[in-house]
Amino acid sequence: MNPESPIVFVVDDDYRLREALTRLISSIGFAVATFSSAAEYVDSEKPDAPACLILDLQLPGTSGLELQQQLAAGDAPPIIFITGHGDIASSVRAMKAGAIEFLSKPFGEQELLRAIDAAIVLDREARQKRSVLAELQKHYSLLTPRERVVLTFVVAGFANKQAAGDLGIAENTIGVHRGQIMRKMGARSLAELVRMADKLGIARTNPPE
Amino acid sequence: MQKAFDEIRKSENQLRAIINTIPALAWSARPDGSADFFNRLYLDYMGLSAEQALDWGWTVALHPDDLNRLADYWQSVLASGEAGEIEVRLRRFDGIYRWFLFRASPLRDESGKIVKWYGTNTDIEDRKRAEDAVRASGRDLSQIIEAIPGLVWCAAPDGEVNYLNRRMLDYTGTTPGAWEQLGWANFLHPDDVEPTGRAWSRAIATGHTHAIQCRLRRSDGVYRWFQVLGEAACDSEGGVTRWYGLLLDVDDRKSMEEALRITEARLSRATQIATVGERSASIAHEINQPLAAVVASSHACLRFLSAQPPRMAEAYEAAESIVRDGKEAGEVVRRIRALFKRAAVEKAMLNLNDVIGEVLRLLGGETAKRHVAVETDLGKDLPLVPGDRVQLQQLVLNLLLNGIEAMDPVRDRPKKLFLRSKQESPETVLVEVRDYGIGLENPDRVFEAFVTTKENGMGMGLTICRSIVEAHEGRLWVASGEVPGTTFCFALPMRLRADS
Repeated sequence: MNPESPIVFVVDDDYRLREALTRLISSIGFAVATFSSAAEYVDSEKPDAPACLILDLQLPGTSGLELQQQLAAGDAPPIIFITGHGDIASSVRAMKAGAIEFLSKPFGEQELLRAIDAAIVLDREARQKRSVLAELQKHYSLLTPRERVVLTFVVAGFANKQAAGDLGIAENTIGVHRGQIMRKMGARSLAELVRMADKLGIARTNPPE
Repeated sequence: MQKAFDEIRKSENQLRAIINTIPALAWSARPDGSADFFNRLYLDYMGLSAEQALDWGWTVALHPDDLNRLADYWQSVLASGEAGEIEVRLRRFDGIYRWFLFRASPLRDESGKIVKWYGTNTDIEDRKRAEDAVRASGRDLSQIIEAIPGLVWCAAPDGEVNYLNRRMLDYTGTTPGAWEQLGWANFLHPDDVEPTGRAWSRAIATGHTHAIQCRLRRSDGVYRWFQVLGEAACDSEGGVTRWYGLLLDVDDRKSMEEALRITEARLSRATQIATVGERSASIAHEINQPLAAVVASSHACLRFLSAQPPRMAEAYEAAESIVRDGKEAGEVVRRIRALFKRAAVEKAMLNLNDVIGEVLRLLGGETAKRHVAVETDLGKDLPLVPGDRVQLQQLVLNLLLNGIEAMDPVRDRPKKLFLRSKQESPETVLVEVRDYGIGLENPDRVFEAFVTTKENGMGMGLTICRSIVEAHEGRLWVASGEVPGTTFCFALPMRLRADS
């Protein structure tokens, strides 16, 4: 299977609904994986693909809202809540915690499709961001400790001479480090290097007065 | 001569005896007003000797406050030569002053010249005290009338108002004259003029207590509710001599009552919603679960059928699931109804008129707010039926709310609910709830769950109603008439089969 083709996860304790949703979602063309409880979902092996999670609010054991909280820390896919009897309090909580949709059973095909599409788009973007970051981190890991220090001076806008003065090394040495940094990070310009450092969350050394 | 002299002396003695004995203070005075004679009683009263009292000496016994008044008056009497009288206080020998009526008449000679003044002083102390007491109690009464926290009025037997107390005048910001000119109707709320006038006319005609509530305009234009009370005072023949009336400000109480009723209605509705809401939360979850599956499978089924070429096997499978899950939803509904049936019917013997009355009281605020008139024709001596009071209240409440809601869209005719109760047969009691609302499209289907004519209806209300009626071994049906609206009827047996 194409790793980039999206998958829809369904967590609901009612087998009739799991069956019906599998039927409907697969008829639209998405891959579906269903789980009868929060624990089953957490323990499962998930493919590396854009995804969304259709989550029943009233689950036995760990509830939908609790699972949402557990997942919030990691790279979980966007959540679409479904409920047989939605009360305002829990829908507000769910939406505040980042759920992208809250559907009352029974829901129509269109509502569900819109929600799934929106969720997949979001997840694709999130995955894109995550992979860019992973790439950058790989490059960054190639830098020597000294080069990492020099990087904080370079992205803060220090001239080679100033950085050399502050670090107590020769100006030429700074130039060599700088070349190595640009090469290892794959940056074609100082501007690009600055953007990369931002994404990586690297603190800049305070510029000279 | 001696004999004649003796006769004169004898009659003079007699006269003296009379004068000294009559129960009055007698005296005589010269034409200039100075006293020249006091009878014994007078001298004894004052505790003065004749020498002390003669001329003006007696005036020491006058009350100092009355001295000038008496002197002036006595001078005017002397000048006019006419008889006169005056009330003054005279000191008794023991120092106590008592009120006396002084009377003086002149004696004239043939030429008409006054030769003597004769007078008597009558003790009027007791009368005076009585008068003071009357005056004081009158003052007390008017103080009471002005002080009582109510508006007081009096009216003639024909109803014409002829007295208003100060509070009444202050409240309305008017004067007795203005009131008389404008008439009481001018001070009432326009809506209250007619009923108040009718009640007042009836009271005048019958002499019965006049009691009504109406809104009276305050001087600042604000209308406040008053309880009007009027009682007729009658003479010994029973004819009305005067009307005495009182107006009590009941506006605060009235608004409190209104607030209380609204709260009650809200509370009852809230309780009802809470109970139904609680049930419907779990019911909804149970029903929505299979329904969600039905809807999802239906969409899938349609997709399979419209695929090129149609994916028949999968469509067939989806349709099978739809049938299965749909049946399941129906099963849930049946379970709900069984739940109502199982709820133990407390077999208390009830008068359905009481149940209706209780629900109408609770609904009072709701019907008033929605301008729904409620008419009843409740059968007298209605036989009792065995039933659960709360369930039957819920039944009547649901039917009434249903009727009220059915009339919400009605604009072109008065909104009216009509309730009737009667013995239907030797074994059953019938209750009819008629609304003049929009009527029903499918009278046969209304008791099915999820069939609703209301935009926001759950479609459960009438299903619950039927469950309750069935739990009481009764019948619930719709009697569609030719008139606009709907009539719901239920009949309950006077004895449960389970008992026999």
